[in-house]
Amino acid sequence: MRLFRRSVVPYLVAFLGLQAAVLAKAPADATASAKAPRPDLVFVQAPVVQPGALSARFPQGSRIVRLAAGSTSPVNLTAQFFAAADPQVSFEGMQVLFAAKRGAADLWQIWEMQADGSNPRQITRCPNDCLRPAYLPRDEIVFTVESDGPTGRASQLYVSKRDGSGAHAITFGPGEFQVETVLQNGLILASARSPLLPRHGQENGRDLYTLRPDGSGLGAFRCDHQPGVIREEATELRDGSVVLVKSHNPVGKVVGELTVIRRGALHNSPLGLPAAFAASPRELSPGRLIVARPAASAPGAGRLALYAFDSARRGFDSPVYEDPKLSSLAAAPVAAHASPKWYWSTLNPALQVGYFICLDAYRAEGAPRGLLATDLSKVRVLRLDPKTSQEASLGEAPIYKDGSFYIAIPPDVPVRFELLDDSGRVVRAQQSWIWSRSGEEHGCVGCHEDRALAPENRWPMALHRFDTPARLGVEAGPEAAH
Amino acid sequence: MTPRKPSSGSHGHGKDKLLRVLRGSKDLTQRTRRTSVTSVLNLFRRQRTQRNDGQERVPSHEEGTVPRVASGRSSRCAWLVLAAFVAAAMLWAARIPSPEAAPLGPQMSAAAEPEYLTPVEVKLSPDGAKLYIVCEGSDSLLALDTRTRQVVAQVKVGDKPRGIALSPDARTIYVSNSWSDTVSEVDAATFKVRRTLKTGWCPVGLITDPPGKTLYVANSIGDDVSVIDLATGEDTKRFRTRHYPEQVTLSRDGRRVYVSNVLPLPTAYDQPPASELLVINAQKQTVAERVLVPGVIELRHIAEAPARLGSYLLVPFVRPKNLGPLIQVGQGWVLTHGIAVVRPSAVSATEGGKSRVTEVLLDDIDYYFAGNEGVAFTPDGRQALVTAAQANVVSVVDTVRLARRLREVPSEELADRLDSAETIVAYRLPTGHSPSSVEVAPDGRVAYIANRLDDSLTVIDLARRRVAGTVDLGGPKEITLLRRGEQLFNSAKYCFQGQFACATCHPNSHLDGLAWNLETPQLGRDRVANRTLRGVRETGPYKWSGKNPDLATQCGPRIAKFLFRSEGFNTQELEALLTYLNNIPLAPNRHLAADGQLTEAQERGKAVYYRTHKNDGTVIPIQNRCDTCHPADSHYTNKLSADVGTATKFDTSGLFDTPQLDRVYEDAPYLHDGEALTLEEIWTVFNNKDTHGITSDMSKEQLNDLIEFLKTL
Repeated sequence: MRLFRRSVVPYLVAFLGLQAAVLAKAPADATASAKAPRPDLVFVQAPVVQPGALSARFPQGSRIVRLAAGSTSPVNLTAQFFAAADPQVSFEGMQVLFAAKRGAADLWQIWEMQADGSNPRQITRCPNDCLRPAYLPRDEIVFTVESDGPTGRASQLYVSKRDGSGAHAITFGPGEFQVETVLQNGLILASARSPLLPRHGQENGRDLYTLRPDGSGLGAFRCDHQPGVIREEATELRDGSVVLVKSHNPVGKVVGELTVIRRGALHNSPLGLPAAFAASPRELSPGRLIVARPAASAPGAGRLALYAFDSARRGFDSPVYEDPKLSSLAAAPVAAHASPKWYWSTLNPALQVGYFICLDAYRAEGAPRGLLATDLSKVRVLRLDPKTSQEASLGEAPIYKDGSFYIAIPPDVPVRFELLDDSGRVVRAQQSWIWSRSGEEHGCVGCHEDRALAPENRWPMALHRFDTPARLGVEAGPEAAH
Repeated sequence: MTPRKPSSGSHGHGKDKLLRVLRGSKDLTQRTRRTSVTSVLNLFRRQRTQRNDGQERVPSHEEGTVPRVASGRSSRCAWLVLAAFVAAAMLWAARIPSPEAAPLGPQMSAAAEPEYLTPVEVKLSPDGAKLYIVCEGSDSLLALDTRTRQVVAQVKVGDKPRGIALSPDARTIYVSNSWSDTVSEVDAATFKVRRTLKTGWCPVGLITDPPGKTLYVANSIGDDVSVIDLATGEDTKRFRTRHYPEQVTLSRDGRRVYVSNVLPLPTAYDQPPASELLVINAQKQTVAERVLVPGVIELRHIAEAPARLGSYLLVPFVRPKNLGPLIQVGQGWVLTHGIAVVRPSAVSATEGGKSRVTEVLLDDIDYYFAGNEGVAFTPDGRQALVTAAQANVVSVVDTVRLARRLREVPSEELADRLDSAETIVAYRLPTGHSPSSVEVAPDGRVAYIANRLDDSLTVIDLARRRVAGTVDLGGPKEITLLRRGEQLFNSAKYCFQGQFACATCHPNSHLDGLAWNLETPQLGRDRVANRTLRGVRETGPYKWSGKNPDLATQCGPRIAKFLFRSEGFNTQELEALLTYLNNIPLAPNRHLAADGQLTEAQERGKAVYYRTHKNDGTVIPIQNRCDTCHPADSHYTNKLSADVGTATKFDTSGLFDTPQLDRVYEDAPYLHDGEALTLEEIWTVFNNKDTHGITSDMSKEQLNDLIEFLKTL
């Protein structure tokens, strides 16, 4: 009997499940596998899903639906919109933040509604497309603003109050920044083009960066030095791991390889075994993700369906939901979840000066033993004019024997550094743009240094001196960052 | 200097003493009017068990047993009747208006504090049947039956017990009493205190030698190790050690005694710290080596690997980056946490031997595990458990992978690598609040962790890699504001990425012995030495700049914004934290006689302190007299800032807050930037122009006397 149970019952269950799938009608003919209890879900449905710019993902429109636990019939929450996307559930689990546009020709704006679809409320009134929002603690949100720039489509991150007031940019320069998620430690995880400077014969990729909600502290999250690789759709799991979708340029597919940066790991690694390809991963429960992947079975074959992914087994479970006519993606559990830490800003807008303190410019990933062998003499600071996209030198500052330098520059200006030797030759050039906000003391360890190596405990020579910070493009004045 | 009888004896014990410290010498009867019934019963029990010699014991008819576990029904009934009577009496008494019955602010709430157990140290009997638990809060030693996980016996010991050792035959338990400066010798069978042995100042860790004839005791405030002859009970010898020794371990072969120090060696304020691991030759009773552990502070417990694995030591540490600007907290790694791997030399330092030290971090990139404190090997040495007291986590290190990591990564790089844990930590498990000490059962299947701030043990199932259970040791269930505040003080979760807690830089609510480059108008300026939090109440304003008028300002948004670089404490949490801070007691003064009588030197020093004329008869201007800025009636601080000529070119102001002088001998290094390593140096090195009191006319003897007096404050 036990043998019978082991051998026959699973097949019987699978057969009955298959029958149910075939017999169901859309939306009633959508199928739901209830392998494990799941919470209510909100997700996006669209007839067509395109890769590329956020604003162009759903050319034939889209909607946000809610699928109740145990139900197979999702309810449309955004019937009044031509397109709706990027649903984010509030920390209390009561509201949904999303991007939507009423008509096909309208701009995307950020909206918020109750989790049952009631009381939709427009938050932003952007002159450009505003999408990909995320909740921040204490009634703030961050979102992505896409616009046409001098070199094509560009995007920046903005932060505003939850009522839309006080919207302001927190990224600067041609990064094509997009919101990914807000980490539990309060940092915003964003993706941006990488490297930000064009490299001959090399495709740009997208990499992950962190920054604080006030736009300070921009830094690479992890670097794997894989040219042309796009890393996006990142989400943080409760155990601190970050799961993302990795694909290769040129962008041609909506799905990519599920990849994880495990807590404590320096590099990413494949999540699936064998490689698992999907889109929009989110944590469903500890050890389980919900993702979108092409449905394997008729009648919805080729369209994206929602699947659970078992992190321990490193493979997909049976579908959570699939629709024969619409792709389903970007699912999020409707449940309360922890609010990230709130961050106290140390900026001082009145100061109109930003600072960089580099502890040791010799430290550089990729150099032998992580150290540049050439004696460094100066750092040249290049600024970018966002209107003309032209570079210009802000000036040069000394690098001291221990590799430290300390500079003051105009705030919110994209800059990059070139390290020079005694003869003025460029030893290493930064391939991305960063900035310092007004009153920010932007600390750097080295020049794209090993993220896993803490610096030495020493008093930087640049801070021993009385002629620092070197002022580049700013007037001399009393230093009063705080 | 001749150690004098400490004044702690005059303070009474445990709760009585805490109350006195918190509230002065008020009458106990008045105090108890507003204590809870629970605390009243605790007090009553304590009074009943007070012995004439100052030691406390459980009731005599069942010496060594816990009444609530082992006593009979009649005994319990008697207790209930007694409790009801006392409670009724207290309720009646509470109706009587009292001068102290006014509403109490946070500073006073400790008066109603129940007696928490606060388990700090655990030790298994050799057969693993009993787990002995030292409870700092209740001044007691508990015995837990590891099979039933029930407390089966308890005995009162001295004030603030901190350490435990077993005799080689396991028939005797030694418990160090940090505020009594004694060791209680407890009979393991009867659970009676047999005798009380005198030690140095503030004994913590202790261990016997293999024959059980000698007891080594680390005296933390004394900065030395007592060698006690167990036959006579005499403290026969002292080993000097630096600085703040707390933990002691005997090598498995019985030939060496290892002593770790919490605070770093006195060093130039602009240099990285280094800490000492003292190695004593247990056969010759000589110093075998002073092992320097560079770059770290807060060496804690010591565990030795089995001989077949090389008998190396693991010692948890904190590795600070105090010389760089503290703005880097926003990036991580300002305080990292790990273990020193010490491979002792086979021969002593005098014969050219030198131990090898490698440091390995147990933090993850972007996630920190603050407060590494306890450490223990499994019997086979394949795993080592390390508790992170401020992250409430135990990390289980795979020692095979650790050995591989040590071979593969250069040691000079390994000390700062944040990706070691990903390789060497097999798994981590949650614990209770403030896991301090860990013991692994002889069969290697289970580990026990003392959770200092929630009166519990976490039991780890090492085979299944999970928490097998939590043992409630029976402390009060109510979490008071003060207790909550102490938990917050010891929690790193309020700091960005969990890098540090208040307690990381203020171990034992004291100081870390370092100078830091805190947030200032300009980076690299205004480096300041850490200051103690003991007795900090009513000593505001705070910070060396005197910028923060009260502790609420000091610990509120500013600490969140500029130190923790994270959310910080909410209003309720801040209130709890302030309650704790306002009630951190001063330790007993070891330099002052129990009767308060000054020695001749101290009397002479007192005269110098209050002198109004120089040796040549010239009047000393009022502003240059010691007691002007350090008046006796307000913790020896006038609460004003002054320029005493100690500013360096790196200071943006010469004005510094006048520090309080209570227990000033514990607070080295001195001056605002920690440049003076000793009290003497304040005047011999940094007062050449008589800007910090008139001292240039003093003789060497006068200065010595002055310092002797200062130590009595």
